[in-house]
Amino acid sequence: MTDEINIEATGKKLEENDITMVILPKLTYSSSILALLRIISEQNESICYVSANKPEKTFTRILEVNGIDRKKFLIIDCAGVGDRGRQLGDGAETIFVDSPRDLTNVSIGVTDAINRGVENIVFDALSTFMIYGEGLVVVRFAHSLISKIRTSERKGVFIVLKDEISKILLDDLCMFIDAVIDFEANQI
Amino acid sequence: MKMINLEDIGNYESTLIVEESKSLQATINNVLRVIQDKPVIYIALIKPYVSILPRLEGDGIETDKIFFVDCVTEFAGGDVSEKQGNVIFIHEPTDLTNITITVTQFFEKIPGKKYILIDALRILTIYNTEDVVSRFMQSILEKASRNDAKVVAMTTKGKHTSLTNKVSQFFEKIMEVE
Repeated sequence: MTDEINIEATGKKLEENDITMVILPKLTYSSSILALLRIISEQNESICYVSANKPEKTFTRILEVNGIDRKKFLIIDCAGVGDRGRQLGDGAETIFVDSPRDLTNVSIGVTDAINRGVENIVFDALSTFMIYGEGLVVVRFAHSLISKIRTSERKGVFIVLKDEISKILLDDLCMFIDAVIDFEANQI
Repeated sequence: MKMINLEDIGNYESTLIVEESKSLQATINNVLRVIQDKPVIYIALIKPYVSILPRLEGDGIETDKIFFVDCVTEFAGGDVSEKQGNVIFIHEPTDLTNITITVTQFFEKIPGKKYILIDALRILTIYNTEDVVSRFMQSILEKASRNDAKVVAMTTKGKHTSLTNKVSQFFEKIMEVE
């Protein structure tokens, strides 16, 4: 299977399903997430990106270097404490949350993003929330958010890293979602 | 992996289906396909009613006789202000008392043989303790047997086997993916 076909199949799956879980291998996480964001930004005019791994500043630079339109993204930055005083450019919207532990404010941020009309909400990565919160709490959080996305008729992409901690999530998450894209297993 | 044979589900007063989480939705649709000649009270815990309905219809399942107890929409902030089809909204999945009351109301509204479908017990344990879920399940089964209703409850395989062990004694038949 070539990369080109994978991208096409991934795009089709993202388009056909409301809630998709994307399983990324740790080693190729950076390149995989970039390919994924490129597809999502081509399919949507406005995207909420919940970043638990990278601060907004880093994420913005990655988008710009790779020619992806930053203005399409409303970022919920859970990883960039201390950066919130930075002057943001025109259209570069960001909601700052203290840490991935603060699930209530992440949820409020997502509701705010939905009310602002974003079409797609990307969680990068749900497995990071598992590091900060107890398993059942994160499962409840995921179920609540996915239900919120469904009732507001938006789309959601939940990124999960292929590691030990994510195994706790996967069983339950599989119940809530419509489709799985496994980059490592090429199940797309 | 073998598929569960659902054809004889109508032979049992109560069935607990233990399925892989990734195959759960497909199995729910297959159950509905088998029992759709009778009215079904569908306790929806995984997805809101608005997400379930089009998928069932797209899968060729008759939805006219399905009565939904939607435990998701309201707690997810969805619109419950207007009356929508055969659906009653429950405030949240912890509100087991209101789920039971709503099921009882449907019993009164639907005469004759009927089914209750619960998708999935695992969701209830995300929001309630296993003992509470176990008591709830026992109560639903008692009410069902007094009201000419058969019960099909879904749950998932995996790490959460203690609930399955607790409630399995209440069911006439356990169907599990091999």
